[in-house]
Amino acid sequence: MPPALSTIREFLDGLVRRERTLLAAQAGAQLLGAGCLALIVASAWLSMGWRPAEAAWILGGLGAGGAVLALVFPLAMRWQASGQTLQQARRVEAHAPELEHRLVTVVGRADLLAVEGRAVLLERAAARVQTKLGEIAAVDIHPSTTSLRAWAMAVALLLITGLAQLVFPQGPLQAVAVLGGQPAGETVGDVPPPTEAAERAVVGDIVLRYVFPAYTGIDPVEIPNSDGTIHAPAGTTVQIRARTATPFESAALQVNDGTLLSADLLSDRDLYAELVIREPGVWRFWLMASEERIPSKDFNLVVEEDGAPVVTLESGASPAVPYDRPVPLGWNVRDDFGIERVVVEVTQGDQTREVELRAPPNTPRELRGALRLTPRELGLQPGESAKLKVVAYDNDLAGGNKRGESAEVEITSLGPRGRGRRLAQQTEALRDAMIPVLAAYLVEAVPPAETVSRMRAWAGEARLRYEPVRDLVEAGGGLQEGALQDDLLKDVLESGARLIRFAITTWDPAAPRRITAGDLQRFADLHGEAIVSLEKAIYIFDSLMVSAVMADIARASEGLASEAQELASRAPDMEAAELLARLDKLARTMAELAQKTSKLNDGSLQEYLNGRLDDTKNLMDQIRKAVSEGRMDDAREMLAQLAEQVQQMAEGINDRMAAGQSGEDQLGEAAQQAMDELKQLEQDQRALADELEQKRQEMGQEFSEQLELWNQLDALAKEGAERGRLAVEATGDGRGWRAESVRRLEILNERTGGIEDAVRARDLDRTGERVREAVRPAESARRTVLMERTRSRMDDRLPDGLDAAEGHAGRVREVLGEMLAVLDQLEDRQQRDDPRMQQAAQDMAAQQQELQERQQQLQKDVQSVERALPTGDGQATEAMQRAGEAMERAGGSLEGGEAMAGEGHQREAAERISEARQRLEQQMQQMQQMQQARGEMQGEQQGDGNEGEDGDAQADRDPGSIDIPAPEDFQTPEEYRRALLEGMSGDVPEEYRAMKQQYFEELVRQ
Amino acid sequence: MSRAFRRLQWVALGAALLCSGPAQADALLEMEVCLDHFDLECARQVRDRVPSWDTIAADRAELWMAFHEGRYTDAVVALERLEQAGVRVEELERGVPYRPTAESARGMVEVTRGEVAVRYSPGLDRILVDEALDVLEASRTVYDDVFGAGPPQVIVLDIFPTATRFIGASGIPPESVRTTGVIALSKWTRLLLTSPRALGRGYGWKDTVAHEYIHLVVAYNTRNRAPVWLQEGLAKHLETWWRGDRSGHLDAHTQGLLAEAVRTGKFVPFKKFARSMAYLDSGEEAALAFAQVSTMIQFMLETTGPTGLATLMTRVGDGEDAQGTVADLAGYDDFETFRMAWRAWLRGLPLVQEQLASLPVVLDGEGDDYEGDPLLAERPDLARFARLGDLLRQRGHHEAALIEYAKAADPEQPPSPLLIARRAVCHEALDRPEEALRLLKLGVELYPEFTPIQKSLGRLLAERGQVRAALASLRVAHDLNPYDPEVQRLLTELYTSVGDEPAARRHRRYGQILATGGVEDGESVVEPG
Repeated sequence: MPPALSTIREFLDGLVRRERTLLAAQAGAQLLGAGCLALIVASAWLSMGWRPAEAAWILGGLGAGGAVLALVFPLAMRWQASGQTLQQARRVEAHAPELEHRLVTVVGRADLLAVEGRAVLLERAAARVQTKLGEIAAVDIHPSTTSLRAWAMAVALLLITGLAQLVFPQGPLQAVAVLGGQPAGETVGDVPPPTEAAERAVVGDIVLRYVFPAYTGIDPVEIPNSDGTIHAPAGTTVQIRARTATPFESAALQVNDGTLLSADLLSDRDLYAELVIREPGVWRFWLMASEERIPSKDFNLVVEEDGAPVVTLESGASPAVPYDRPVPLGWNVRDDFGIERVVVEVTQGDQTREVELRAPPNTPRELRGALRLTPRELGLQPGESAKLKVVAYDNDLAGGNKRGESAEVEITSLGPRGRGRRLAQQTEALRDAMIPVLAAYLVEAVPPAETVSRMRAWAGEARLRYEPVRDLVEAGGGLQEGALQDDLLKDVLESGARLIRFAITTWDPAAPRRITAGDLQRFADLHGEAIVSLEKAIYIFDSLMVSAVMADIARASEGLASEAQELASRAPDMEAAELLARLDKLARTMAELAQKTSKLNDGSLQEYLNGRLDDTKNLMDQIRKAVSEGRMDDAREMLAQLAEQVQQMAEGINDRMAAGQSGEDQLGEAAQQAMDELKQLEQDQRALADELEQKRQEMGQEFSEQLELWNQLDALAKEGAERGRLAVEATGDGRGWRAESVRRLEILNERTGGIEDAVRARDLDRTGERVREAVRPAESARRTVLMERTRSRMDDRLPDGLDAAEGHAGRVREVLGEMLAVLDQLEDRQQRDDPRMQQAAQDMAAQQQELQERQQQLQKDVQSVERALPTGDGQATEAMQRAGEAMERAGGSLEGGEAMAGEGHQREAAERISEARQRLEQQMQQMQQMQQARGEMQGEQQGDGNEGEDGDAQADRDPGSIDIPAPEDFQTPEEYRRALLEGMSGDVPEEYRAMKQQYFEELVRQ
Repeated sequence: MSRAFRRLQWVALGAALLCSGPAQADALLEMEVCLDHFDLECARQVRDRVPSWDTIAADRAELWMAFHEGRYTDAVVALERLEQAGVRVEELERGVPYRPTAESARGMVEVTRGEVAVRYSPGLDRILVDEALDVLEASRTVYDDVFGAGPPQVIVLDIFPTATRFIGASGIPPESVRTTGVIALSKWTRLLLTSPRALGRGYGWKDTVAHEYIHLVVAYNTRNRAPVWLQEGLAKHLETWWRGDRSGHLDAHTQGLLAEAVRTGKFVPFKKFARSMAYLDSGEEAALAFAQVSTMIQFMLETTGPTGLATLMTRVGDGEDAQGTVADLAGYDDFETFRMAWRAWLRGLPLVQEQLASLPVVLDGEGDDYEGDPLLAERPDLARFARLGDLLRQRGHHEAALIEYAKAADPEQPPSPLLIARRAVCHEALDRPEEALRLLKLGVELYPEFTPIQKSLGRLLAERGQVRAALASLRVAHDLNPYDPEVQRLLTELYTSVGDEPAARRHRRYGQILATGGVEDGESVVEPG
């Protein structure tokens, strides 16, 4: 064998060794990696609380499978081949093509060449190959890259395994332990099930710390001194700290009969363990010492169910809803842990669609709101019906989103015509329901009975009177919030409720008391208020209804006129039969009109309209007669007359409506003018008072002394009034008191109450008069109260509140005395008033007189406007009367040179004028609301008569139900807050202020 | 024909035209004067003198005659011919409603009896015809006699079915009609009347017809020289004479107005109604003006007796000053002395001192019941309580309704006739007929023209068997508003019960007219010519 050949063979053997070494290293790395992977999966499995047996299968299966694969793939496939030198030669040839197959030839054919005598050739080839091989390193043929990569992977897995040991509750070591039969790794079968008879280790000082799943949004909660019962939703991690009564060597935790979980035992007695709640049952510690395993007692583990959201409807939606107004449906959703979204499901026939209402970003546990969507936005056309259901979904990630549903509500979408018709029907029904209530109040005596039992019976009967009204309100889903009718109805019901409440509490058989004159007066006042509110509501409802009927009649008569006109124009081309048929149709239209007319008040207007209809009917009879007799020309001529007659009637009705509108416009202008003049008068009166004040200040010391005295009187008058009131209140319900005592205290209260006004007006005479008038009743009241202590009684028990009443009554007497003293000083000052000031006051009397003349004229205007306003209640006129009286007094004071009193009266007059203006303004607003309601009721006329019309033209949004954006509609909470603040600070017309308040209250509720 | 002869022909024609032009103009002027004097016969004679070849003059004459004779379509045709001939329409019309009248009268039918003719709109107004003819005939007899003479032509009365049509034919601005409540006119030698049906509760239309006829007779007899105050005084004072009532009784409202004027000295100045009563500020002012002048006539007649009227006509017609003539006939040196004496006489009259309001005129269903009430029309705040009372009453809560009606009354204001009527209905329903009767009698005394009170009183009296008194009230109710079927039924029954078969038959027929809508044979549409 040539020496070169030996060198070649050594080179190739070296390659064999290298490759096999690398393969072995790769296999080893893969084996390690597979083992780590199996351990990671198994520990993850155990950490999830799943059965250890399955973990063992995973570990065994995955470990064994991985090991086989790790060995098979690098070794089985390549080990044998790697031992063949020819194979190695081929690899070298592949790496160094310049060998030109000589290496394979030298290695593979060496024997053959030697035999055939071709050794020279062999030697030469070997030499060449040897030379070349000197340039080739073994690492070039078998690089260690794959092996290194495998090891890198193995090391990484090893590190992950180590990490898993740290992170997972059941780490790889525990997984290995489970397989290895160690305590932590014991299988279920290895743990003896605890029995009642079994000895139990004492575990106490249990502290549970709940870490709730993130979706619940609940912060961790720690329960010290727990009885060990765990109560939380699934997915919650519970960290348990406890203490054993005796020392142990190790510990484990078990849930139900599951795998033992690791538990730390510190200082032989302090236990710490964690569990993740999956299922209900019990949990216990296992405590080990000297081959002994003792369970603790079983502690309950309750899985709190994350129920579906509860959806309730706050107000029943009216069955019929205008198609461009929000469905009046309030909803409320509650959930245990959070609401993800709220939708409304709209079902029409077999089709259901969903419209999202809210999708709050922070999944609150309670949400409420109004539907805020119109039938149109819900996809309903006017006239269509649908079933609505509010549906909410919770944010349960563990068990999946659960759905809660509200009760189903059926609604019908109304067009303008339908809305107007419905509103008119509602208004009529409510008016008719209120009339018997009013009648009953009007005819009964006040008070209606004299005994307690009869008054109680009356209260029950009075409550029943309102039932039909309440039923209608509930059946109709209420009227539009904020509308005039709604306000009036509320007023009616509230005033009735106040009256009935008062009757029940005053005539209470369970707490009998003496009925005072004040009680009776109060009852009479409340009774009167109930009547007034009913009268106002009935009248306005009736006016609205009559207006709606008139509008309806106008529309119908216009239709009739155009029908008649068309008939007259086509008559020359018509045959007799056709003419008669058209006349029949016309007669039907007239019958409808007559039916509408019957809803009017049975007065002259109705008679007039009926008369015109009769005329028309008669003419039609004549036309029919002419047609039947073949007098077609006569018939046609009469048809023209008929058309004109009907046209005249239609025009007459329209003229009447236009005249009504024009009258209202004029009234509005007159009211506005009166309000402007009132404002001016008020300003002028204040300016005059300011001027007077200025002069008094300029004229020195005397003024400030007087002012000081008046301030003292202010305080005393206030105290007197307050004490007087408290003295009456101290008698409570009057039990134990003599009626006379209570009556005297009531008189005292009445007298002291009137002093404040006089003082405020700086009216020395009136104040003196009032104070002196009160002195005697005060003395009398004080004495009678004192006598309550000494008078004989059945039970010798003093009445409740006697001390207080005595104290207050006595103090009132003192206050009055002090007031008289101050008044004396004032009178003295008054007499010594600066002559210049007196002169100045007298000079001003002429100006005051001029103002008073303006006031008198204006009072007439205000009265005239108020009388004409359908919503007028006389309060503006009353305020003007009081203003006039104050002006009168002011004038008198000024003429007498009493500047201080004059100014007081002037300011009082200005206040009353301001009050009159406000009252008038309020009434005007109500009238505007009335006009708005009338417009809505006449929606039938405003629309084009098509029930299915598109409502864009009619989409006058209800100002009472503004579309409120939800917080999530804003990009950021800051934006939302900013928008909120901007909105709140914005000014709105007076009539919309209540609406604005309602709007922001609703916003805050979101 | 030579050229010279032709020239001569043209000259002759020109001369003829120059001579005849002024003659025709004089004729038209003369005709205008005749018409102004309400002398239709005179106008006709003048018209006959207008040569037919002068078509414009002839058309002018035809226009005026047709319009005054009530041939409105002919008038419009003549008007159109004149327009086609280039005559300026404004010049012709001069505020005379030729076309509106024709429009308003379209479809009306005419019924003639002797020297009087009534035209009305077919239908329920048929019920008026017979009695309208009766009134006209009686008026002609009575007033032609007392004033010395009457117009020789057929007197035409147009009854317009609605106020709108009346306004159209009257030429008076609608606002004036609505303010003063003028619902009838004597103009263009015709009488124009608004049907009582146009007012919800009717009105005293028969006396109104007589009133308007007096205007016509006075204008005719004085050649239209009687001033408005005299016209109105005579018409007002004598308007009941046609039915034999010459008592000169003043209704409570008029008495109240006069009493107040006497007390305060605030009478309506004559100059204020110099042109027409239609231009007075309010119905209340018009009522006082009527009261003033009618009592002046009454005061004069107390001295002269009815025979003084003819003298008055003659002297005023001869151009004597009306005020002086009246004063002279009454025995005073001048009108001022007469006026002072009249005031003194007024003070001696037992006038009702209570201030009553005149009933508002509500036309063509322009208002509801409350707008037709003197108190409630002015006080919408009180009308609210009345409406509440009505709502309660309609639903049978009569006691409660009475309380609301009481709230609707204002003791410082004139009593409301509507409330009187409503309260009476409630008392009746509550079986308190005596109280109802007391109220109704008071109502009749205060507001005799308030039909619902008359009707209720008549019905209640009939139920109590007081037939004569019931007939009296129902008769008044019928005279005011004949369109109430219940009134016709009651009258039929009552007349039957007292054996007055012709009257019963008449009211039965009226009932029939109402039931059938006034469809009757024998009516003929007014022919254009």
